[in-house]
Amino acid sequence: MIHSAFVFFRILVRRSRRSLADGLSRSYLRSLVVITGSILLLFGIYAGTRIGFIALTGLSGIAGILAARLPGLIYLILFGMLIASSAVTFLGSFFSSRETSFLYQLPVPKRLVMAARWQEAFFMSTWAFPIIILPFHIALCQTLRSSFAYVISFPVFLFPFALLTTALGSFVASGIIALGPLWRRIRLALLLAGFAVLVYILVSGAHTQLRQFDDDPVRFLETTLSQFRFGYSPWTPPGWWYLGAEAARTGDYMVAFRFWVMLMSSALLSLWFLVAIAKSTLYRLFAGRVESDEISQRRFSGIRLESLLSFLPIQFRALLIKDLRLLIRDPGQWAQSILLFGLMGVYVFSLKGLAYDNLQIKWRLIVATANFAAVCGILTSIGTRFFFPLPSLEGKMAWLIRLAPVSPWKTISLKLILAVLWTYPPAALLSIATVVFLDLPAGFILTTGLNVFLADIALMSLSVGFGVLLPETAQEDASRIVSGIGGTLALLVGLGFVILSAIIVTFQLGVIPGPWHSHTYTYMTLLLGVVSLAVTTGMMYAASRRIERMEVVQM
Amino acid sequence: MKNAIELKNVGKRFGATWAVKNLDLTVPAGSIFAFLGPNGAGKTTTLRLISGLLFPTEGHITVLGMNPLHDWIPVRKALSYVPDIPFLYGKLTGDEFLRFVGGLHEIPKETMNQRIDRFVSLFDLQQYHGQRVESYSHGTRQKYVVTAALLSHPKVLLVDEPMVGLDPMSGRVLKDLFREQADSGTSILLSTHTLSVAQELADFIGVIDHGSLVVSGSRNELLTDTTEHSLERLFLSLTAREGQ
Repeated sequence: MIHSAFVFFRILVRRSRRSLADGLSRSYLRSLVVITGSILLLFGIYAGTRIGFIALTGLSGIAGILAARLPGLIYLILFGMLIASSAVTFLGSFFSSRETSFLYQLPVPKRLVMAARWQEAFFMSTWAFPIIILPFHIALCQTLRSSFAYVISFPVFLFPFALLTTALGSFVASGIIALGPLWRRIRLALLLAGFAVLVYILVSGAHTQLRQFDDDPVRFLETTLSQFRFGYSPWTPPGWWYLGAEAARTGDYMVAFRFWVMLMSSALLSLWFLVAIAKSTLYRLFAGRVESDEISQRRFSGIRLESLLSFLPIQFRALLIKDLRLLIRDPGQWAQSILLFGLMGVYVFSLKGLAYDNLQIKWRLIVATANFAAVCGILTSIGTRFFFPLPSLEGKMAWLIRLAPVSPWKTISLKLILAVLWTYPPAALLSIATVVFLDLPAGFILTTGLNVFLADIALMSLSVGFGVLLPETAQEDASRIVSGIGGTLALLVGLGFVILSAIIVTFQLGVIPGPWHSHTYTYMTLLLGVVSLAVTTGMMYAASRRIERMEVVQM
Repeated sequence: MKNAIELKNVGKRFGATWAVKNLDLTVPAGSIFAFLGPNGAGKTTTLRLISGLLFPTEGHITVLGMNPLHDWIPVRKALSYVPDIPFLYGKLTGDEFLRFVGGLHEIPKETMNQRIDRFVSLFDLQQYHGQRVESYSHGTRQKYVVTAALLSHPKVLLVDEPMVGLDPMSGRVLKDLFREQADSGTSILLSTHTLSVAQELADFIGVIDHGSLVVSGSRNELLTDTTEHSLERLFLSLTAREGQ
């Protein structure tokens, strides 16, 4: 058994190595640009965060709050994102993969097959997150002048944390499969419930029943960050990391070790449980899924969607319906969409508990800008997860699109329109909800809606554009496509754009008044529009040229 | 008779290897041209060059007098392609796939319904029509690809190994369909290993080997007798390797 496990691991390593070698052999220059660009972007994120932290610590009392609260929030976000990412990857690598059927026919124990698919899900779902979080961690450590023990606590705690979240993600994925057809109703119910809660909050005026406190930014930040108790609790995995790292920072290594052991033992226990149910439950779920897929395929879906969208031009309709169907029929898509927007919904909901009545407008605007950046961050994640893989998924079917009497510009624009239609309504709703909670003037609703729209089209064009420019056509699994160099670069460039647009919005809303203050709003709105337009048209043009010049060798 | 497809001195290089070299080929309008050759001779590459999926390293290609790389929309409106391996969208049903292709070609709804009904009935696809493509066998996928290609009633049809995976009944239906299409003015370039199909269907025959055309002409010119194995004898004599 150990030998078989080793064989699977070697296959995984070899496949990753070949994938990297393929990328390099295609074009050294392109690979060099991609790698240099990624490093520069990571450095940009580090520099931006460091400058932000330095500015914040200029305010008395802020440094202590940052040290005490921010890591917990980061671990909490990482916890949610890693579980979501693992669930989606495990759905793809285990339940939806054709390789799983093949592996189950091999003369190896069933739990080993699950373990082989699981280790792939572990590597693919986690490798990018630490790289993205690392610049924040380094910037924070430098700002707070943290001890060396605190700095290295990051990788030490990250490993069991990632193991645990991947195991939990695998349970989530298994739960989704176990629910079967019921999941379709549940996901719809979840979406409707989330929407209903948001509408309730907006119309009930709950946000006006606020506690009062003086205009104290330190207390305000403290109160805001303390809303996320889950990140500091001694009963939760993010809390174990947070408390363990805190103990390491203060030199209490025994306490740090205790929390690390709690994290590691929980991870190993979850893994042991997963392996234990692999033969009985997971294999049954996998076999049941294949069977139910065959049954569900017998349903004749009819042409309802065509009738519903009959007002659209015929080519546009055909491409839109095809992409919509492919998007909806991927089990990972809906699940993560709900999870990401759900997380944001929880965050927005938690804002209603804060007191803003006596808070200076400046601080409300800071929160509004932070919310804009958070929404854009989620849009970047969704764009990379869902819309970056679309061109790659065409892969071996690229001949169909290439031979269709549709211009590449039209094809690529349609993917952008689909992405914006899919992401803008929930993003705008969440952003506008925060403006209402913050009791900002009504005009801000329009500004927020416009800002999110401009950012959304640019972010989606980055995802779709990079999807065409750096495709992973050999892969058929969306989660594997996202984990490649192109997906990571799309995410990093997207985050770079988010930082840039957040800076512009900071000036636009007057958080940092400029010398030309009376016209700042107009100038900055125009600037955001120009940047967004430049990114969108640039990416769309490059992508359509790439389609025109692309040879379809692999079919 | 005007030519539907013309290749002049066409070459295609992959790295250091020439897959096609100095290829001159003409397919007269409204005819069936059987394109024969051993494995790796350059048949599929030639078809992909004509369709615009690949770009020639040298030479000039015209389809109905147009350049497939420059006259993007008109060539694609007139041309359909049936690849050797039918990769389709696994998550779509057969019906959805056909309507998607029909939509791209802007076929009116009523016409599309009529054509889909006809082909589904001809190929006996009713029981698969509502199932997702990922569950189809190779033969069923092949039938759907052929149907999709014929849906737009193309002026030029490129077909790569159409008989692979098809049962004898469907093979017969397909041959009749190709003849019907050619009679109605469609020019068909058919790459195949099935010599009996070429002998039965083709108006013109071309044999390619090592990326170059070895012989080309009308069936009557090339086949001196009409016995069952005459084309096989010609093919083997033209493509025999040293020592064989």
